[in-house]
Amino acid sequence: MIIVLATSFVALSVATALMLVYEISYYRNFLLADATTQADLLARMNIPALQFDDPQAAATNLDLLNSRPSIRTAAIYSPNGSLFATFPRVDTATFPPLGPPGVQIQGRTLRMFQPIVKNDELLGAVYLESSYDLADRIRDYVLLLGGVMLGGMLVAGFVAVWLAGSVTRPVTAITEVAHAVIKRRDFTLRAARTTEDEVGVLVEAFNTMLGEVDERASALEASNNALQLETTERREAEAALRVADQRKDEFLATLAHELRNPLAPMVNAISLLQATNTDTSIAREAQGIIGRQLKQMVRLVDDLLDISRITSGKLTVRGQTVELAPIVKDAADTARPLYDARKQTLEIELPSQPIYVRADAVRLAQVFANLLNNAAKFSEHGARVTLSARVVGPALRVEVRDGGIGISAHVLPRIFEMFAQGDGSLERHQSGLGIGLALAKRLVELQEGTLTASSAGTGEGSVFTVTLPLVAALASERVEEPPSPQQLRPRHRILLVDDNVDFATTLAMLLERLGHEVRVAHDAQQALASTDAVVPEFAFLDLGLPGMNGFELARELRAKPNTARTVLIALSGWGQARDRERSREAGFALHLVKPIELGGIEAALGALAQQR
Amino acid sequence: MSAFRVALRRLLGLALGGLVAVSVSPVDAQQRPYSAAEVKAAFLYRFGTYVEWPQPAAASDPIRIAVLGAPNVAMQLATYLPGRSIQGRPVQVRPIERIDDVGDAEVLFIGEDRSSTLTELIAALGKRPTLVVTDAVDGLKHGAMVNFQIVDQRVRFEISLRKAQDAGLMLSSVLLSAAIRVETSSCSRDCHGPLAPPQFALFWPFEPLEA
Repeated sequence: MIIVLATSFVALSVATALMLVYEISYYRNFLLADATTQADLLARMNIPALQFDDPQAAATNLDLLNSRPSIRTAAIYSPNGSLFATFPRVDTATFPPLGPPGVQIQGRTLRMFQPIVKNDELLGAVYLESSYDLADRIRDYVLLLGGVMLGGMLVAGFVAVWLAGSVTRPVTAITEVAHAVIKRRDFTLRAARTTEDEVGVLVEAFNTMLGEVDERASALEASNNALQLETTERREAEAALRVADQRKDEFLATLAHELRNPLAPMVNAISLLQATNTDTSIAREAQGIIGRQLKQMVRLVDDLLDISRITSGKLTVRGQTVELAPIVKDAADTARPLYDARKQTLEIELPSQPIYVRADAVRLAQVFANLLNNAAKFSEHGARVTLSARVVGPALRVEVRDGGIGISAHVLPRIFEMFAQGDGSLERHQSGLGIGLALAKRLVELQEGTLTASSAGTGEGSVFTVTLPLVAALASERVEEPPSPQQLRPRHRILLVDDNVDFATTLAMLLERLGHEVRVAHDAQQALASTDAVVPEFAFLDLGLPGMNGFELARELRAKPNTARTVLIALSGWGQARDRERSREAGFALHLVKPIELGGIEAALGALAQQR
Repeated sequence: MSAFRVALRRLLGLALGGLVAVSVSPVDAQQRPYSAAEVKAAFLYRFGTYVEWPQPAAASDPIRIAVLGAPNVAMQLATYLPGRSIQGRPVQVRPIERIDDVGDAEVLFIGEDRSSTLTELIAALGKRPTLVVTDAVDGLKHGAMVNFQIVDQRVRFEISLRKAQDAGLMLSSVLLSAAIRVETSSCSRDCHGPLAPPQFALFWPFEPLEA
């Protein structure tokens, strides 16, 4: 406001001063020129009157000055100084004596003499007296300019007020909003847009900027949170990895221990068997020791393989309707030696009527055996373990209860974790690998059941509960009976191809003891050569043969006329659907997954012989 | 140009200064009027400055003023003319005794004492381009172009434009405006000069202008 007014005032003052100076100069010159012109005109006009001595004509000429009110008096002088004619004609006016030519300014009066000359002859002179109103003129002008200036200042003031309304107010509003945003950290605040002009655009831009800042701030916060979360997760993952690493080390130590443990009695037993003078009862005892220890090792390795399959997602279970009782019996039989060794009692309580569940019989038996073994291991000698089953709602609940060392509260949540161990106070050799419970839980879950553990505390014993879905309609489903090993065994010509010489040789010996005619080959060439002499009915082919692999060998056998009808069975470490598909395409009738036991081969032979 | 102007101013200033020095007061100046002969001599010279003669003459040829029967005027002219010129030509005065001595003088002044034979004298001139100035009561009627008259004790003059035009002379309007009366060829009635009231005075809403 003040700036506007001051600027206007200075500008107007400068303009006024310049105009005043110019006006004074101009008006002064104008007055002089006017007087001079007037005198000149009068001089020329009165030449004839003077030449021919006609004061009347001169007076008439001077009368024309009536139209010039600024000229007060005028006169024509004769050369000898006498008055020739005057204006006004009346003698009220007084005239000065003839003076030298030129202009004289006295106060507000301008006086001038102008000689009248014609043909170099001095005829007389003109005298003019006019008002020299320069001061009045200046005064008027100053008044006028002052008025203009005042008006200009007023207009400028109004303009300033108006500008303050349309510019300063929105800008002040923006400033207030900016302060509020800074103070309250609230980016949703907006300045009100009141006009459509540039200031309005400014407000709009400011609001847009606020929105942008808001978005950026939110995005930054979100990413910050995400980063924090990620960091936390990574820390946890790192900690978990460290724990897992530690457990792996412990596991490896335990594994070595567990694998080493059965070897000592086995070596002793073999030494006894090798001694020539060992009597029959001792030899039988030694064989029993070897068989038991070996079985424990096989179980250990089987568990490891299962865990490996589970963690790599390769373990599959078959959901079939099976009866519970035989499975429990199977598991009890498996665990029996341990109970006998520790003089513990295993009580089994089953409902009187048969119970059917949807499960994989072998895997379910494995789970129960595992739980029973566990219970025996963590109970005192001579203790009692109970396995009870009952139907609860739509589910079967199987509980394995022991009065053993129990599980402390802080271990309980981690009891099913891989490689989890109880307290270090436990005897190491009885703690096992720490994979049994984890494997059992996964197997149960694969069969759509649950496995939970509970314990009142250390020394209070523990309860493991398996819950499985019951099969609703029992009558309509055919219960699959596990194949009986005591079936009729026909004799077959068998070709067994595996580069593992020990495996192939021992399996061949077992098959031969069952009455089959077995030929063994360790690579494809041997296998093809042997078929020239004897054409096999069945050929067991290891897929991972050196040189020509099992698939290629299968194609060769299919191509040879004499072996075209031979039934091919694949032996593989891989049992995924994709692997099975691939072997079927290669011409195999069956795909067996290692480890392969005699029973599996017998069953396959029985099934395929019927198909032939 | 400016140097000339400055020089002229100085000259005029000196002249006026001289005038002021001579004429002590206007009252004194009025009590010492010019004589009629002085005025007439000056008038004769000034008439010449407002006349155009038909044959252009060389700049060196003098303009001759013949004076018949007015020796005092001739004498005044003789003192007045030296140093003066008309249209760049020198001016001479020639007192003559007989009309035949006029020759081809540009201006002829016939004095008052020859007024009785004025008609004959002018007739003798014929149509020659000479400005004939008389000093008689009815000078114009006798054939003069300019005639002096005394009005209110001042020397005035009247002009016959017709006669001047007949002789092939061109008179300036300035000269006409100074005359008390101008006879023109188209003026069938009594003319009173250029300042005469308009003929349509019937419709003139104001007072007639003063002549």
